[in-house]
Amino acid sequence: MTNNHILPNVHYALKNIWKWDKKFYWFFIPTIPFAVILPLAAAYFPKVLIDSVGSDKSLQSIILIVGIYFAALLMVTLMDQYCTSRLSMRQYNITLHYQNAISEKHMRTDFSNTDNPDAINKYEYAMSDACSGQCAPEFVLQSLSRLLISLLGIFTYGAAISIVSPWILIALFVSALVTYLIARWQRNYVEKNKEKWVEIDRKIGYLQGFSQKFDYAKDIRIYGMFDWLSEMLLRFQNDRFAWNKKVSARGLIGTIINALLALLRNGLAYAILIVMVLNDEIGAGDFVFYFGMITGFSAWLNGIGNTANDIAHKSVKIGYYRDYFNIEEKFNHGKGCALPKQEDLPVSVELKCVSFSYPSEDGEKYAVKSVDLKIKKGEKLAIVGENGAGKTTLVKLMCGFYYPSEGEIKLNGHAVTDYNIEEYYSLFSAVFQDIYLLPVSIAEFVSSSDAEIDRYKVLKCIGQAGLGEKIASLERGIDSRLMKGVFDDSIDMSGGEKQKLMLARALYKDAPVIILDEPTAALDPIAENELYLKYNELTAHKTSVYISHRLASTRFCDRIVFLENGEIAEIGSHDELMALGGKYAKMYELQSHYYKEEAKDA
Amino acid sequence: MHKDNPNIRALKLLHSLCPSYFPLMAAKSFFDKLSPYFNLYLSAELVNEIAGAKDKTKLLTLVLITVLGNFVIAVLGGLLNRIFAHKEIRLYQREAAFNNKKTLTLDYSDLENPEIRQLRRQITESARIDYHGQQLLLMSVGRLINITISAILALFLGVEMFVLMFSSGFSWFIIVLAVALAALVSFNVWYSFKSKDKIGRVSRNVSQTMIDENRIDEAIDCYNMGKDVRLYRQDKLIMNIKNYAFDLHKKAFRTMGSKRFVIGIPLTITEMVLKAIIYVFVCAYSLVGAFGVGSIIKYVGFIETLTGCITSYFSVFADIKYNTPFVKDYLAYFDIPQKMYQGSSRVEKCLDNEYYIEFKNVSFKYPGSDSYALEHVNFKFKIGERLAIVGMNGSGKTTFIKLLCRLYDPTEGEILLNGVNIKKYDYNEYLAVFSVVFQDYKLFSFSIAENVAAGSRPDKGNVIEALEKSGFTQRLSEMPEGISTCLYKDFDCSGVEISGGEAQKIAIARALYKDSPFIILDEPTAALDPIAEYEIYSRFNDIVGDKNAIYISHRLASCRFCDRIAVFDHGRVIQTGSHNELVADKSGKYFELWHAQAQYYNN
Repeated sequence: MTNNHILPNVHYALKNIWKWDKKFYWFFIPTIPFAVILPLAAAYFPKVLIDSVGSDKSLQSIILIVGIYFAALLMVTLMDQYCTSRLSMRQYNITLHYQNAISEKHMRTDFSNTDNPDAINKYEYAMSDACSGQCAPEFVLQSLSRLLISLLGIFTYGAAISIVSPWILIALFVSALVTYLIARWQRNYVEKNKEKWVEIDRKIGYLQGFSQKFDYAKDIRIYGMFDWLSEMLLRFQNDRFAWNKKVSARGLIGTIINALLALLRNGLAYAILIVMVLNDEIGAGDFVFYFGMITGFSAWLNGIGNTANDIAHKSVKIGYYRDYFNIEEKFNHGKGCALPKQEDLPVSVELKCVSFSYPSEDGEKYAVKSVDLKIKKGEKLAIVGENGAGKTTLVKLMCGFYYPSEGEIKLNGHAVTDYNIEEYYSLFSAVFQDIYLLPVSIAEFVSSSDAEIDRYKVLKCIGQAGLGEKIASLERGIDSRLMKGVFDDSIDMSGGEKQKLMLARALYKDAPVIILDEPTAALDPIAENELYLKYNELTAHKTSVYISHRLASTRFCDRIVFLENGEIAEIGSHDELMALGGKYAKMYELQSHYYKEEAKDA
Repeated sequence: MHKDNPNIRALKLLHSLCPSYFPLMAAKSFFDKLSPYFNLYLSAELVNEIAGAKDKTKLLTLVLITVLGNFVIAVLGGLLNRIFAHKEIRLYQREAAFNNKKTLTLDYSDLENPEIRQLRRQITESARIDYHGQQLLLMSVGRLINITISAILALFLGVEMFVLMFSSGFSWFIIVLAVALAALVSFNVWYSFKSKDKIGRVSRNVSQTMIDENRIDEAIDCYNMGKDVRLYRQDKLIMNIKNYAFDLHKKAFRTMGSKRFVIGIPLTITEMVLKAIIYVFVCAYSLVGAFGVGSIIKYVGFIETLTGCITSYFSVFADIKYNTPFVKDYLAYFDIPQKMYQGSSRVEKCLDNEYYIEFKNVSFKYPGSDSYALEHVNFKFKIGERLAIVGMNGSGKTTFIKLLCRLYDPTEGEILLNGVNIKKYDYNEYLAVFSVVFQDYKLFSFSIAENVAAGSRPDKGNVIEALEKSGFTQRLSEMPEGISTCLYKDFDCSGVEISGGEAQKIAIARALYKDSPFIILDEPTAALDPIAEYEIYSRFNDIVGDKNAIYISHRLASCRFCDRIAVFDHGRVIQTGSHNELVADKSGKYFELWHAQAQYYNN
């Protein structure tokens, strides 16, 4: 953590509140004096009354005192309630601003910052605080005001008490110090051991999650795992409980010591006040008032220790936000060179001795190693290889998702970093293996926008992707909303249909480079065949890259790259590679084995 | 109260989970509430003494009683609080386990029922926002006990006050006081009851908004969809959705904030008037000498708490009333009946795996759906047979498997195992007959061995053998702790991430380890590369051994291992036969499917 100084962190939080919601301060500041005045008045009023009754004032004058007091109290209370209600209207606004800012950053930052553990940690620290309901940069304001209130309280109450006896003040300070030390002792114990039960809590959370995770239900039933899971839950609950007991035992010791302190404190206060009473220095009213002051003063003092701690704690969390927002970017997020013009299309992509290793792995294992590859304008390239050979990584490097560890990638002669990265993305249409939907209409999803949708084009692309029939069967057609369960009218789609939808979106984007990563995995043979038949039409005048396990598909491509352990093992057309009789040929033979044998049988 | 009152039922349920919870709650409340009264009483005595005789011994005694008494109360209270806090944790833990049990033993058809999923989600989300449901009920009961104890303690002071007032005359004065107080208190009660409903509506609105907001937010998997977001500039679309939710939120909170304030004004005013009146009366009686000046604070304290208690009573009841629908939802989930577990026949252990299955005119509709997923399926399964099921997406293949494994019961028709309707068998024993690798199988974030064994006491040898058969051995040798390595990081931070293909192999190993008479593989090679796929195909006979096997695949080459192939189309079985028989029928669906793939490999 780099941002861990309290003052700059608090300043950062206050500055953002000012930026996002100035009125927050308007309603916040008045509540501070109220918080001191109200208890002070509540302690002073009985004194006045007791003095009045004790000195046999008339009933009228008592009615007057009571009337004035409550009228004033009413005004202050109402003002306080007004401010509080205005504040409660704004509650979580700042939190939501932070949540949105983090989401936005997460969507804009280098892609590699979304899948390397260090960056993910930064994201998660910030996001989990923003979602905790106690978003530190919003609620630090509360802590600051509590600190200020406590300080004001200490001055006013302290002034009152010092009239009686400065010795009491010293005793009160000592008592507060002891209370603070006990609290710190308890907190240290918690801090020191927290990791152990956070670990247990995660396990409990995972196990309790099965009451919600319905998609695990089939496997749990078929494999009869219920008893085992329950037994495990019980075991970890017991472990957690043992920790609770240890922590609360320290809590109890704290309670007892505090009770003892209160005994000494109050005993001393009573002793001093009663001596003064006996010497006729103060009356009954004063006695009540000062005793209230002394008790109140202890509370303010204890408050200071707690809030100071609280602020330090929140400052650490504010640091998480600043760390995340300042995360390092490798790609160019500023101004870039011009994108290729119409006459420069389709584009060429060149990889010059590109190597890449994932940051999480311990160093030397390359996912892609020394790849030299020039994809010509309008070329149709296929990438094949075993699971884990680096196919998807290679494609991600081309798209500008990862920054090569070594080597360079160029598009139409310019390095990727010459372009503004977001403009660079606009050159690629891709369908990836993993499928993610959004709770928006089909038209919005396919066009990736919620305004200026070319509905005709949406329909055309959906038709090309082989989804026309399905859409026609929907009551609201391309205006149907996706993701069943989010809205009442949202629709559900099968795996194959979703994959076709992804294809439709790629076609709508109509970018110069089209990348298909296993686009037929969830399709049945007929739908798969249809895609093959249309492949040339779909990729006309484009540079395309096709990744597949089904080697049948590579036939439509001009060139095939066979990857092995991140390196190019073979490269050439289908016929060339078959003639070569190498790894590609062997893999092709394997796959066609059971299809071909049938030909012999027949 | 009515026997079926959901709140009573819920409390009984919670009580049965942790019987000492409520008694301890009462004991703890007593000590929490005792301390203010103790202090009111003694400080009044002290002030009276100071304002009066100033007797030294009496003052000393009073001070000693006060400080020591407070000490004792604080220590005993702390002790009870600790014990209670433990019970509370226990209660919540047991409640969570109870919840888990319910979901994990629910009939599978209910689990996939959208209404029940919605109910479950509703319960979780309402609980997360403002603790609606059983938690708010528990909190309300806690408040109720607190208030009751407060009120009882206050009444002692009250009786004392009225006795003193009456004995000093002016009884009409007391009647005026009583009437004025009664009027103000009843206004307060009536008004807060009325406005509680109004506030309740607004805050229900806020809760609903937050639930909607949450659902939208959860639907967007920002964490994983990074590639799509960047290439398709979905960030704008997503931010628009989020801002839509943000606006809903702002609006709801704004309404609530302003309503709360306006509704609160009359309450604040009556409260102040009430207090002012009490002060005047108590001072007046003190002036005429009914009691000492110290007692002013004591008696004002009594009336304030008593009226406070009455208002709080009603507010607690209003809370309980507002919360009742949530408690109903909560109970409704536990009330879902379990139908699957009614069978009791034992599945006879057949040596040689001589089981046979028959589908008799089976039709099936998913709950809440109008169309048949399966229609009039008649099907017999011979002993030791290897069956392949093929068909287009949505033709009913997976549904067939779900019925066979009795995750669902047929809408019409019946399924027989060895001539007996499968509903008659003990459910757990029937499930034990099948090993299934579902298309959407799930692995758990436990160790590889525990995953394969689906239990805590894995037989090491068998685990390794199963993993070897499924082709995982090589990857296993790279695992930091062999078969004890944890998968994923959800459960244990030292867990490893694995690819889809590797996960699929572990899932196959799990099915093999179970060693049941039937093994069912639903698209087991979808995530595998050609070489791994070939390995699985070529070892299929070895893998399956002497079991009955059912195999679903889009890759038709794999079906050639099977003795018989059933072709599904629109929920019906339209062709059955061996590969050679089916492929000979050039007008059949099977030929069409086969040809679509084989053409690319045949020249």
